[in-house]
Amino acid sequence: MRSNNAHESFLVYRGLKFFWLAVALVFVAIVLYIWHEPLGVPNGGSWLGYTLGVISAVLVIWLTWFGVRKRQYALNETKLKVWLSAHIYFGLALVIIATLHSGFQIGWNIHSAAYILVLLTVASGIFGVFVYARYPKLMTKNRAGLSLDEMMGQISELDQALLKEGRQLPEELNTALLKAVRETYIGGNIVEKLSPKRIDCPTANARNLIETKYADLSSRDQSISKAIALLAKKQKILRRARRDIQIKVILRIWLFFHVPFAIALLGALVSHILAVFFYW
Amino acid sequence: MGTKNEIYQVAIIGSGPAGLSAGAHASVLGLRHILLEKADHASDTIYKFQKGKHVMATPDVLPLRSDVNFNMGSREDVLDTWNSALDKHQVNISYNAEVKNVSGGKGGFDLTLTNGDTIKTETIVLAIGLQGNLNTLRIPGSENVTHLQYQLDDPDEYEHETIIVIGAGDAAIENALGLCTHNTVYIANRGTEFSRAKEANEAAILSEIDKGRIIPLYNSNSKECTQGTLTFDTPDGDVTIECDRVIARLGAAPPRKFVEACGVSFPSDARNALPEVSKTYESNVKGLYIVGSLGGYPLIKQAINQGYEVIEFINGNTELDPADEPLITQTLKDIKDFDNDAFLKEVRVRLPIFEELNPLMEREMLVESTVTAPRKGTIIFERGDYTNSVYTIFRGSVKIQTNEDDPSQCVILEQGAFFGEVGLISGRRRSATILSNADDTILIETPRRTMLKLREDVRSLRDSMDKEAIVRQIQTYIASSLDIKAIQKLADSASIETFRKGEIIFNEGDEGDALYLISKGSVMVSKRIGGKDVTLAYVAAGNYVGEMALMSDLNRTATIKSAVDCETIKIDGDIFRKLVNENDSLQKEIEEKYGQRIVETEKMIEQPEAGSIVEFLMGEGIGEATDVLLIDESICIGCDNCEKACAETHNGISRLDREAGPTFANVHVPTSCRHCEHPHCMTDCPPDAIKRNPEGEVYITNDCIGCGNCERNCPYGVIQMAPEPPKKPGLFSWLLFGKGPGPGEDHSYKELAPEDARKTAVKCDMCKDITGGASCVRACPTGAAIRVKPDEFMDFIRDGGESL
Repeated sequence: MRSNNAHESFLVYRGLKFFWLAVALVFVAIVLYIWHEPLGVPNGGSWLGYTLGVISAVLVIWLTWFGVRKRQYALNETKLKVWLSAHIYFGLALVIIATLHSGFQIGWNIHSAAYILVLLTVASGIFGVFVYARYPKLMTKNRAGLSLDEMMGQISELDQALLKEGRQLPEELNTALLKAVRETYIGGNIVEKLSPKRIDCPTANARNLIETKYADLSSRDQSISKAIALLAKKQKILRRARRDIQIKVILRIWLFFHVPFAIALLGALVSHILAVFFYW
Repeated sequence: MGTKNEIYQVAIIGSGPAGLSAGAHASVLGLRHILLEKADHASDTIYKFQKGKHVMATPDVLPLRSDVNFNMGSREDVLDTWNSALDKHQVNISYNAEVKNVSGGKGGFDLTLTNGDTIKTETIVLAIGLQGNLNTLRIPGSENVTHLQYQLDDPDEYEHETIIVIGAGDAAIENALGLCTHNTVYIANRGTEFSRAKEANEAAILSEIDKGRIIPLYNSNSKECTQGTLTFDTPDGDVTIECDRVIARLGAAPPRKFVEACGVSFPSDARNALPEVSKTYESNVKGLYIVGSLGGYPLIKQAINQGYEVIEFINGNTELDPADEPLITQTLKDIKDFDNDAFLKEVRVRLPIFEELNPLMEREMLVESTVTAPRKGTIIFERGDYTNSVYTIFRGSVKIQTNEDDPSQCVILEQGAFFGEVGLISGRRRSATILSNADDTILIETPRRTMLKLREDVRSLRDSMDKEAIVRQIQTYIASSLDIKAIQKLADSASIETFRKGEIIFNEGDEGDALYLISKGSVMVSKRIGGKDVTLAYVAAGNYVGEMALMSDLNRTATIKSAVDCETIKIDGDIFRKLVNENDSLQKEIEEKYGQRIVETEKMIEQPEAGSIVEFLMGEGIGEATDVLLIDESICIGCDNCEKACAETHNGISRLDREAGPTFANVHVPTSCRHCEHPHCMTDCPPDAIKRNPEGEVYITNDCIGCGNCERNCPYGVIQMAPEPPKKPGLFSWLLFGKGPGPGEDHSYKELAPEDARKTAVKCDMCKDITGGASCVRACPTGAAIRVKPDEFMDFIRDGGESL
């Protein structure tokens, strides 16, 4: 028995329904473009040019409306998943339709600025789709059933154990362990979040120190071997936690480009249309 | 006191709630009366309550009818009110007057007091209660120790002691609560629940146990004591606890000797048996009336009403209606052919399951029930509804449609029968549509809570209901083609067996001697493959297990374990096998099921990961869910739009926490309501504010009083107590001008809310008021959030297994 809840990703919604609709739209546009013989070069000013322009403008406004629709929670018509599926495929179609509308004319003017913004917005969107398709699985795999809170809990338990062992160890090591406990962080600034390798990690440093300078004492000193094991364990969880944050940031950061591009596009589109009618 | 040789019209013995109220009313009516109290103050039982004890005024539905006022409040407030009533009505009360002997008869009783005085009276009202006669602990050593007591006046007298309170009733709970601030307190309970106590007390003790301030000893029977210790018999063996004090609150028995000496007879020799009284509270001794807890009415409010009523009766007003009469009239407003008395009388004559209800229970049941007169053809409930009330047929008949595709297939139930009990027991959807089958049909619809209470209190009702439920379930779920005689035969061989969560029903390799029909809960099927237990299936209530071994003469081919607390109907294997052999259509049905199971088993063996997911989900309690939110983490982008949607459609508070909750493989179970078959939250809601509507959603109405019981009772932590969040600016104000915190729950408001802000319970209502389904699922941009019903679990899991 299948419920209408059917568990189906936004990309393959109903056998790629919107993909095929978008393909059909693009196909018709291309056929018309080839068939059409305008006066002079292909241009936005011909009847086909205006038609394609109107379609593009409507698409831009409708695509931008997604930001509003996403937040209209009480609206019960269709699932957001359906909207997203359509948003992606018609967004891709927009690139081709807008290109045909331009008649492949590019210059230093407001019209081309709008066109470039279409390309930028769609490109950032494509990156978003890639991110949405790729990273959730990686995130699940990296977490291995733990939540970030649980990881932090484990880290603080390991820290307690490290502090205890540190008291038995030489001053230099104890200081390094204290530093590892007190100054280790996950997250940090945006660069560190995206690339955790850049973090100068006191835990890694302490592990490095103990492994290079003190490892040979571990056969005689129980505390050293224990501290090595604890540090290794902590580093492993730290890596997981930082990776988790990295993925979360990646899943969001593209929106910081996609949305401003879209807003700028809206502005450029308005200017483009006003300019066209002003110089009519 | 009046003159020595005055003859009173009424002498009232005992000045508790009943006696007090009787005295006041006798005085108001101007009767020559005397109220005799053996202590030097009135209302000794309440007087001996713990200081500051909160006195309840239940049952809420019962109106108070007396010259003495009574409201819920502290012991002190209640006593003050009563003492001033004694003064106000100039009740002729005599303290330190203990009656030693009663002689004579109606019109001329002689009472002898312990101080030698004698009193002559025409009638007697015996209102002495039970507390004069406390039950004691009868275990080896209890006679010889000094640290054992049966009462507690002021808990503040004790500090830094280790104290064991024995008992699970209100008195024990209140003592334990009073003592736990300054002492180490254990509470010893013979069972595992405090359901006998008032709801508020139960909630309070569970909360203190939760906080670790009281240590519970469950399933513990006291076994012996020596000075400074007490030993319990527990499931884990004997446990001896060193203590400074043991307070045993074991209830009280009637002061039988004295009552019998008055000439009153008891119906049985049972320790707790109470004397029988007439409708006017008169005992077998004419002119001697018994009211209050000795007369079987243990609640204060009932006793106060009785005090008033008995004086009315003695004064000649035998036509007085009981105090809840207007409520009964309200319940019976649509019934034309019976007046209240006739209806009440007929209930017990016509409806065998209510035969053993005492008049009080019967009235309470009717007050809380709905009585309707549906004309022929009216639908009572439909197949698939989630309602759970029980109906009894007072007159007329109903038609059960046993086959949804063919309305002509039906069973008729006549006057006296009941229906709907399977829904009550299983917590599942109604399995058939039922219609009224006569124009003069009268039905009593009793709500779930009332019925569960009656099932607890009245053994015979429970037994006959269970027996009928066995027959009906066999008919519905196993052998719809069998005739009723054959079904009856199966039912006679059947017994009800219950299993706790995780208990084994049978093991792979066992001999197959019975078939199990699951009537409540659900089970997991597993098999040992390559030295490992592999979970093969989840089987829900309304299905049977164990037919494979019976049909094939092999041993059990799989292990069955209960996924949640389960109730099963165990049917004898030999009788079942014989019936199957005799009946072709049954054989065909069972064989079909058998084949289907073999195919499904092989499918699951092919993908053992799916089995692990079943096991994980069952471990999370999804075996008792009716609709659960799951998240496929392999496509969840963590945008929290589900939470935001929930908050935006529910007054600003999200009822789900996406990130919290366990994950296995790619299946994540967020902290969100599962709409359990037997909702734990519903068990103890004082205003009965948690409801389930016919589509199955469990929701909280505006009647919530904010007591927090449901939050504590929910094992899945999906109910929260939240203050009203402030209004937020609209979406566009935020989108365009950045006003307000934006969509979703504004997490800061809870910290900012004033300390004493009124909090109410909030939980998922599955967006029952919004068309288009749950908003969390609708708002998920990637399709990761889905809601799954039990009959879809296995499909979902198999799909999930493939995509792993």
